[in-house]
Amino acid sequence: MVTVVVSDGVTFTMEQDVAFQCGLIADFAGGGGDQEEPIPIQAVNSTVMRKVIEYCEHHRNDPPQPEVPEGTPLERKDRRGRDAWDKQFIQVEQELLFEIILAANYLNIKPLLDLGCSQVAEMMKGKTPAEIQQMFNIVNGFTADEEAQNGEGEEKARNLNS
Amino acid sequence: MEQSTTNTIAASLESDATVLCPNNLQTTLTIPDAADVYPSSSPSEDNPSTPLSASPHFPLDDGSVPFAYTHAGSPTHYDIVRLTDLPGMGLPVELWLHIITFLGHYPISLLACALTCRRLYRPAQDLIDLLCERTIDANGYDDLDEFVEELRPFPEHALAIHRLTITGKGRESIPVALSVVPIRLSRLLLSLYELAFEEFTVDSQPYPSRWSLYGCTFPCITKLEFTFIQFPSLKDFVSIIESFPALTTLELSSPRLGSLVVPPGVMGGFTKRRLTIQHLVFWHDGKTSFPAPFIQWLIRRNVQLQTLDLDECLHTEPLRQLLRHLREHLQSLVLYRHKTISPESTEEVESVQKLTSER
Repeated sequence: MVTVVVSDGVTFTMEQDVAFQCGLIADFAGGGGDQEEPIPIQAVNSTVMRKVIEYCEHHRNDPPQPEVPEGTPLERKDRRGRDAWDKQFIQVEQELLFEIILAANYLNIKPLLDLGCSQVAEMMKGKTPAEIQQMFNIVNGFTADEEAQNGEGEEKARNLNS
Repeated sequence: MEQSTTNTIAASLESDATVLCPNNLQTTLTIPDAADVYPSSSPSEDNPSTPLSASPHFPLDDGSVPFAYTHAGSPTHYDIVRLTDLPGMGLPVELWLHIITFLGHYPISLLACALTCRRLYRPAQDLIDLLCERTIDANGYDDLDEFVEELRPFPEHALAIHRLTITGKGRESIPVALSVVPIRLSRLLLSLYELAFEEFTVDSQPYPSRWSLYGCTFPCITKLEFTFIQFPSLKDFVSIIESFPALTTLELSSPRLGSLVVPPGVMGGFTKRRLTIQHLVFWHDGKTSFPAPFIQWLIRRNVQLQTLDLDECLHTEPLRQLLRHLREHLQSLVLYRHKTISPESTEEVESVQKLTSER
């Protein structure tokens, strides 16, 4: 068993095959036996950790992901791997989604990171720049000249769409 | 302390991020200058130190937000806020770069993404360029099959591809997939207007050959490039060029021509259609030269070039003949490494507005 303690002080205990899907924990534990001391994970709170553990438990029996060989389109691989459960799992509020992505990145869980990132990409599909800015609260930072050029770009996008 | 942190951020942002795109286009995405995004503000406090030494998958910087985010509903100014101040509302630019790679088959969404934020503009544009210019290894069918399989579900992506390179990767053979490329791709690549052939040998077939199939299938091609292609004869070469009805730009890099004999009838053209070639570029590797019969063919076919870029590949007299022919239309003449002819000797070309000679 592996025990971790997250930023808000909550402790989670999980089996090794669940915990070791997190590259960070596996590295920390060194692949050895039971970890006596709880592993501190300060960058993740308990809400997000629960989601991460839920994901890892669901995928505990998955065969290890082979390294993506050169020439394999990642997106096709991602779409195949994104089953109904994954789709349902990642349907969360945007704030939580971003936190899951950050946690997956920090804990080094590549499939969860890809799942979260592909979900954000899904949210961006078919949206205009203004809609994306509004959705993610992004300030563009373009100068007036660049904005004018962007107008031409948007025109190009409309032409591509038509 | 603040200065040191800012420097660390700047250093981390100046580095390039290599990203494996969805369709396996390895690209280096250059993150724009940090100064553009961090005009005056600096992080207010240090990121809580992490208890573990292992690095995250995408190493983050010290916790600042590489994107210019503001609090929801705030006016659009350049507030730089720390990631920890806005839990869940921001992601570091490294992760946004990873996110946009999942838009690899959606160039319109990528374009929208590029216009969203200054930090994403260049990476997204680079990705679009990679998606719109594709290469197929025609030595077998695998690459072609994978290309077709990849694009079939994504007509938007297929429609955005404007340049296709067909390469033989230097093998001394005729690529097996060469003749089926037009058949397999005709309904997919509807916006293709640049076609490049690289490094293989063309076999001789009676006209109309497989090349006319390319011209018929992709009648909108305006630019053709041949790089290290071995043609059996000049006759085959010109027949290929003539099969593209809308061709305006022809770029030749060290073509190898077998026989230079062109039957008199062929000189007049395989088709009666007026050729629309306006731009000609010829590079060579020191082993090839610009064949005089090709010049004759250009003149006989009354090709009215507007620009001509020539490496040192043409003897003086054929070049003069060509320039004499083009004297009323040629607007730009660029001569690279020419020792045998100087710009002064081209003064009979009345219309040239730009004349460059580079040794």
